[in-house]
Amino acid sequence: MDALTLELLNGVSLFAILAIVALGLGIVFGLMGVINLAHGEFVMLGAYVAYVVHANGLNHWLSLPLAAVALFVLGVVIEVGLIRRIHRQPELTILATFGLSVCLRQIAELVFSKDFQSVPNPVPGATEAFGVLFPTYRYLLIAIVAVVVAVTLLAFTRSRFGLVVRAIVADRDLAESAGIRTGVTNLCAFGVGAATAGIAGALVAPLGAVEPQAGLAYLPGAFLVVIVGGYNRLWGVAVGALVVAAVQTGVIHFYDAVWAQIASLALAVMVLQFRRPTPAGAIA
Amino acid sequence: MRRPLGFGGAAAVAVAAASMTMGDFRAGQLSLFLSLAVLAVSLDLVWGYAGILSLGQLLPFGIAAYSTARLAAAAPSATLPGLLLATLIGAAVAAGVGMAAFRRRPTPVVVGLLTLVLSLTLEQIAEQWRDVTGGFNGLTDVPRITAFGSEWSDSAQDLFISVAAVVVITGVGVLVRKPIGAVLIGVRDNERRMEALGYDTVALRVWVFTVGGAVAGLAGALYVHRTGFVSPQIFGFALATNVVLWTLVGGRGTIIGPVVGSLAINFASATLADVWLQYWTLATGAIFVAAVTLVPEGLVPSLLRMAGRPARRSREPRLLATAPAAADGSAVFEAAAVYKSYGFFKVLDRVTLTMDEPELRCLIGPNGAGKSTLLDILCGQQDCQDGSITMLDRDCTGLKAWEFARHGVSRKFQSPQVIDSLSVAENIAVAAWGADPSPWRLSVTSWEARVPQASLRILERTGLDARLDSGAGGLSHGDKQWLEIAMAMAGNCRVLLLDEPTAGMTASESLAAAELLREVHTDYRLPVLIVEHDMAFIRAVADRVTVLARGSLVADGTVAEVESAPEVVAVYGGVGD
Amino acid sequence: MRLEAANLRSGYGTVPVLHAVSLTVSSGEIVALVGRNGAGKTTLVKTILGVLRATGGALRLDGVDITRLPPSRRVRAGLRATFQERALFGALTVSDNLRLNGFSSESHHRVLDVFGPALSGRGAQRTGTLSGGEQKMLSAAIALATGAPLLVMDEPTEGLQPSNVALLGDHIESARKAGRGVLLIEQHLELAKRLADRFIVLEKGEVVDGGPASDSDVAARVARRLLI
Repeated sequence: MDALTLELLNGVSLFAILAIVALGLGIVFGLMGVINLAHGEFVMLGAYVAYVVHANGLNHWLSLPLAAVALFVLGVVIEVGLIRRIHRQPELTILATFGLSVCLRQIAELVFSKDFQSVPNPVPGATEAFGVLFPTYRYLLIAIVAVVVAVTLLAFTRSRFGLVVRAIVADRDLAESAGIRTGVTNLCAFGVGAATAGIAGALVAPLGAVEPQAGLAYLPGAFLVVIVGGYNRLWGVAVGALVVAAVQTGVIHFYDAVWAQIASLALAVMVLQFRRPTPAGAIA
Repeated sequence: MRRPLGFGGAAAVAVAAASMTMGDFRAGQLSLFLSLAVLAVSLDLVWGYAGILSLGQLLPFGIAAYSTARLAAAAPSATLPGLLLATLIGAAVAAGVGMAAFRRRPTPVVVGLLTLVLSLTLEQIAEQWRDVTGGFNGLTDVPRITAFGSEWSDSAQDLFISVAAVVVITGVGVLVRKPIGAVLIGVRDNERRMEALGYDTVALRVWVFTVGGAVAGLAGALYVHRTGFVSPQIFGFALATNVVLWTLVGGRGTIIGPVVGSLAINFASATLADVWLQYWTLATGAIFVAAVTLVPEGLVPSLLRMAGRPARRSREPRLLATAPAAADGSAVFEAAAVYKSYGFFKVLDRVTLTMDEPELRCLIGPNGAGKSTLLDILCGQQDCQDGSITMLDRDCTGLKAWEFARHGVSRKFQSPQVIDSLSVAENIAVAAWGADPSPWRLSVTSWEARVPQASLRILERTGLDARLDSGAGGLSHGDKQWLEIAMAMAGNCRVLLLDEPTAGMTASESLAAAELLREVHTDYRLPVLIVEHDMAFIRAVADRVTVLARGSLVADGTVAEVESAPEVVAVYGGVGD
Repeated sequence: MRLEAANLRSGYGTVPVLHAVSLTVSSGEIVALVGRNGAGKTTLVKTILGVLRATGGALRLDGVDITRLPPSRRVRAGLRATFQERALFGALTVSDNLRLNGFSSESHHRVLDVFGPALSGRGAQRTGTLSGGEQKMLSAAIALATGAPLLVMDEPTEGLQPSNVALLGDHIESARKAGRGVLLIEQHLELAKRLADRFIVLEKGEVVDGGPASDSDVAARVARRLLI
């Protein structure tokens, strides 16, 4: 019974990490139709923000807003400098963001070296609940992700900004004709997508090593989540993360990690078979 | 390349000579980079020619490499048959991926994404499935090629791999200069046109992906013999995208481009990485971004263009005139009680339209009457929700567009759809081959096409026969219209559907078009159904006019009868035209 | 405010549709643009608003070149258009459509009441579930209520019942009285005759005729051109 509870908690924790990592991709890929292969690097840079915060003796929690701001700015620069020029040619977007990811990894390596850095857990220890001990930081992580995801989802579904992004997705020309500056909106949306990736990076930094290649591990999972959850609607990210986390946790429980990967992949392929496989805006 | 065989032979000799004289270290590099060039060429075949952006070309490559490593360890004497096996494994992997991925006609982006995710997931599987893959460290000490009773020396193996790579690349070069090369370009440039010519584009994509997978599989086997080990990184992000980089920088859609790209970047990388160390990787990333934004077509095509030459030399197919398909006196078509709605909006409300004798019929009506939808349904571009379609005595209800086309239903689209990257003659040839479009056959046949006289007549009368080697993309709008009509008549055309053929024509051009269509119709007894708005054109061309309004037939008869019918005046008076 | 198109060219892909169209619309006048199906009227509207890129010629608003501006900048400069098709976000509610067009929630009822009770209080409804005619009314109401000094309306009466056609006519007329300029694309010749100060006839992408509506010769010529 306790083992099952622990498994469930691990599943929820995986769900939270998947959701926060995929959230930005859900905005950038799902809503805007930009395939951003550098998304993992945004997460990696967020983790380095946490590392720098730690190295300067500051409070870990400070790294969350700092990472968000830093990555927002980076996202804006990249949108203006690169994405905007090739937005209507999705193939080129894939290739350019790949080149970008290589550059970002290498710059991280030049600045911070290849070495694995670690960010200490700000709240070590475990909390006892539901009859099992579970790391306190993971409880906090789940809570923070819940808040960040909820706020972002609310912002996109309730505020005019979210409405505007949805309108641009639905019909860019019509949005322009209503006087909406789609360029500025896309800029902000890309920035917000990068910012949530930064928060994700700062959050997961204490859980594993901080290193230049760290972002690569997050990319397939994030795309899986967005594909499974569906494009065009941001809450699909939550659904996708839930499904992928459930499948992976379940399969790992009964079989092993290899089959978990195969199962989630099969899931993505199946979803593609049954869905109109076109992300918004990905067709010029 | 004009003569890929001659060029390939010369290259093989040159590579062999280089491999034997440049010293063991360089010869080793050459064989390694050439085996990677084979991988790049396999990507070029599917991406550059058929337009499938595959970021998962490492799936067949890597799986074949792992299989080869296991086989070579288990049965060292069977490495040469192992190369063949690796080719088959690569083909099988790619066929599986292709069948799963292409069935729902995903956009290039989704294909790219799916193949990338597949590849990256396979990396993780390879790391974790230790029993089979050796886990993170992979399989090491893969023996060299063993044949004729002994394991070969490094230099013998390098020579073999280098020459084999050139042979395979030459083979792909020969393949893309065959008719199938033009057909793949057609699928890349204009899928809808190709379907309307009788090509099953989904099957063609799976086919070319499978062939590319076979080439990649062989490359994987050569690579693993050369390096002596294989690790999960073979599926990784770095290699997956580096292959794309070599192909992109070299120039996709040419065979020499990816080879030059692979060799240049890999040799530069091997040399400069020592000097520059980490900066080199940064430079590759920057080159990638720069290449995408500055020379998206690639170096080789850019250089060729600067030298005033096209990246791809067009072929000059022989167009042989054949008699038109026999008009056998059967009914042309019958659309019975066709029903189509979008939600509550009825586009076609049980419309019955028949043509018993070959005639020149016009279909007119106000905007939103359902004319184009009906035309789409008559050639399989859209399905109807109820009712049946009989074309040339065969029940075609529910068939796909390419099945309609093979059955003899040809269609010209509203805005002209031709294959821009091919010449006028190649467009006609590709259209003619659509009557029997097996990719295997088109991989071996010569550049010869049997074209019905009606199609050739159109080319003659519009002056296109004097411009057979011009690129179709550079034609004027009017010439494209005629080229497309000639293409529609070039295959197994037994009934022709035209959607607004005079769109974009001036009044006098429209009348000339009417005259030419009448001439072809009269001389070859070709049944034609035309959707049109231009009344002057309709008066000049039509035997009979059918009027459609709000999803129903409202009038039918000669032009004079229809013009004076009260329904038509009512419809046109109310909604306008 | 004065909208001027000079030798405007445009089309879809490689298909040219407009061949050097020139026209002007000034404050306080209604210009009726008529022409048969496929003459290029809708293409002209799209090009004026910038949804479709001009391939040649120039567009000026009060002498300022707007040919290369994105549609949103043109809208902010005082231009508004209603489209014949896909004029609203069907998947969003009526209120969301109003918000996207810059109306605060307090002003929603003002827009919805333009056509009397037909649309009042239907803000929460998904726009795609309105009837075709209701969507037409809503999109016309939005354009009228924005107060933009220059309106381009593409077939605003299509699918409207006669009483609402008359009502829309009154609104357009009062817009003129308020000093706004209107380019009206209209098949309904009676309405066009009632409202227009000038006629412009488009045929195969070219302006082939036109003149003051008060001139009975012009009116007769326009009528003849439209009858086949």
